[in-house]
Amino acid sequence: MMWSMLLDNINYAVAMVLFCIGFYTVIMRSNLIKKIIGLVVMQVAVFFFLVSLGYLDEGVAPIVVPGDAPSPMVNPLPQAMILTAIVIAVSTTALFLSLALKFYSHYGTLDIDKVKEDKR
Amino acid sequence: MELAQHFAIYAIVTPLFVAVLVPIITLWKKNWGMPLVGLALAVSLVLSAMLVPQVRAAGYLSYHLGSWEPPFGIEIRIDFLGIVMMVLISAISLIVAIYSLRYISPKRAKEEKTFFFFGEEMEEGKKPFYYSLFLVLSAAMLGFVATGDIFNMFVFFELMAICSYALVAIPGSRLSIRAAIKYMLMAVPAAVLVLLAIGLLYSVTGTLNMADLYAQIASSGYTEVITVSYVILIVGFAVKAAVFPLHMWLPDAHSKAPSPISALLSGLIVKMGVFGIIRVTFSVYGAYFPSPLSWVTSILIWVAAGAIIYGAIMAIMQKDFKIMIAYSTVMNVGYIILGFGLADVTALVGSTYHIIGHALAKSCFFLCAGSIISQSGYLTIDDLKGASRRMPLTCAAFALASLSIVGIPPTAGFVGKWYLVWGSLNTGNVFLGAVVLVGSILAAVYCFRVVYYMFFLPPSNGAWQEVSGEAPLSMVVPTWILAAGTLVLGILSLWILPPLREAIESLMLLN
Repeated sequence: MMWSMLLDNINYAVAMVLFCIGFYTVIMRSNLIKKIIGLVVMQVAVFFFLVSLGYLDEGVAPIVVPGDAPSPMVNPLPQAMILTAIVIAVSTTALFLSLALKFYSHYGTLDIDKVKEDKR
Repeated sequence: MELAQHFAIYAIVTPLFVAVLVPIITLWKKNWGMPLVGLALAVSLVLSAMLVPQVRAAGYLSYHLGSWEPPFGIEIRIDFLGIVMMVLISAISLIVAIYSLRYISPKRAKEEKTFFFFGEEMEEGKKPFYYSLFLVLSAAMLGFVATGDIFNMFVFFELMAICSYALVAIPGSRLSIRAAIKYMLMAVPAAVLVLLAIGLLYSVTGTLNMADLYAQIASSGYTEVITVSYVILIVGFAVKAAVFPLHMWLPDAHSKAPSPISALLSGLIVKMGVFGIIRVTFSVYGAYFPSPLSWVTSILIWVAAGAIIYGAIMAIMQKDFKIMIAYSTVMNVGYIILGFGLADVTALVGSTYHIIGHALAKSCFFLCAGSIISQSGYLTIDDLKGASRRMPLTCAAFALASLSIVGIPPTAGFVGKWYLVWGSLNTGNVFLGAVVLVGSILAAVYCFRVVYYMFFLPPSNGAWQEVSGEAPLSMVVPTWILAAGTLVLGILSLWILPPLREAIESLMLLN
């Protein structure tokens, strides 16, 4: 019973696990690049969750062809949302990586725990 | 009236459009950048001001993007609270844009290289991009308060966030990069949480339009999913609003950014987080608000009380002028969240009025700090002794704005706090009313200490000798407009409060 419920909702479970992995990485790793990787994993977990919401077994693209009987269709709205969100995630990641580059050139390290105290 | 119905979208799109134009045009005409920026923001200000009577008459204004009907297309839905925020955003952005004309000009820094500028100066080449990001930021804030579609709200939220990260980091100095990274490490996961919450909501309601969501949530049976999504959404916005336990990024980011950007961050962007909380609570989760979700607001009340006391004590302890002002923002967000958490009409009127009053006063604080930094290079509060001898106008503006932060009548800060105390007594929370008053006393400690140093103490030996004098007129006038604004809005509250109260009553469905 328990296992079949989990298997039916495996997409949500995987999204949760991915999200937790990403969150753990962001919080526990001190290397900036690893933190950014963790952020990307978090974002991808949420994208995965949203895309799987609209998924339908044997669903087709939501285009009505005149004359054909209507068949089950995949919900296109989450996909459109995720396309927008991917663009946002890419720009955030690009900005973060460029900041990490600047950070490295100023401090000579990517370990942010080493620069906790830095007064002007 | 054909054109007038598109005013709402023009107010948002004009700055976005000019943001693209500015870097291109400045390739040919170096001096055209700033007038264009001013023009775009002035257009937004005029258009949103012209919408006020219309929104006041109809209750709200609905505009369908691309003429798609609301539940399917994106709707722009401006209620009275939204239009007040739009006017506030475009006005403060315009004032700060005028201020930053001379502030980021590198010529002054080169001529008067007698003081360290701590990486606050900017290279000439960055100027068009600064203005471009500035305009996108303003447009994103305008869109954020105007939209009636929750996913569109997320997009504007992220647009605003990306611009603010970049603007914090734009000086390129060691400390500003570090502050921007600290900011991003907290704010990016928060934005991911907002998206997750929207996904959860969509999974149980199948809609993204806020008015439709309101109806769907009222009839939906998935109480647990909706509760979880509400909590996630509130946490996501609370990071952006720097609500007390999630405020760690704020003092660094607000004090290491260029001062005009600090003014925008503290005056407006923090308020966007609070506005997001208010918007989703009443326009989306309104059906759940009083009963199943009341535990969230009762947690928020105590968080807010903690923020007021903690922010005030940390502000009193600071030596750096801008970090002190940043901690004061943590405290004032506590006030605003307190009014929201009490879930009382009077208290919510107080907190919305505090949003307005604090936006003006805190922007004025940061602009004063910016004038002092760009004229003298002094950063600590001890250095401010005797500042009024060289910069009397800036110091007087600071003193006037600090009256509003402390909450002395007839300033705008007083009106907000008065309603907050009244609201907390209304709901029987005498202790919280006392916290508001104690917070005011603590605010007086940190504000009037600076005022005392500025006006009544002689400069410590040698200080202020080489300072040439008052900041240029393009910096003093914006500072004074904001300082006078706190006073004027305190008096105008007689006319602003009744419609604001009506708007909030209809938000809370008490009519």
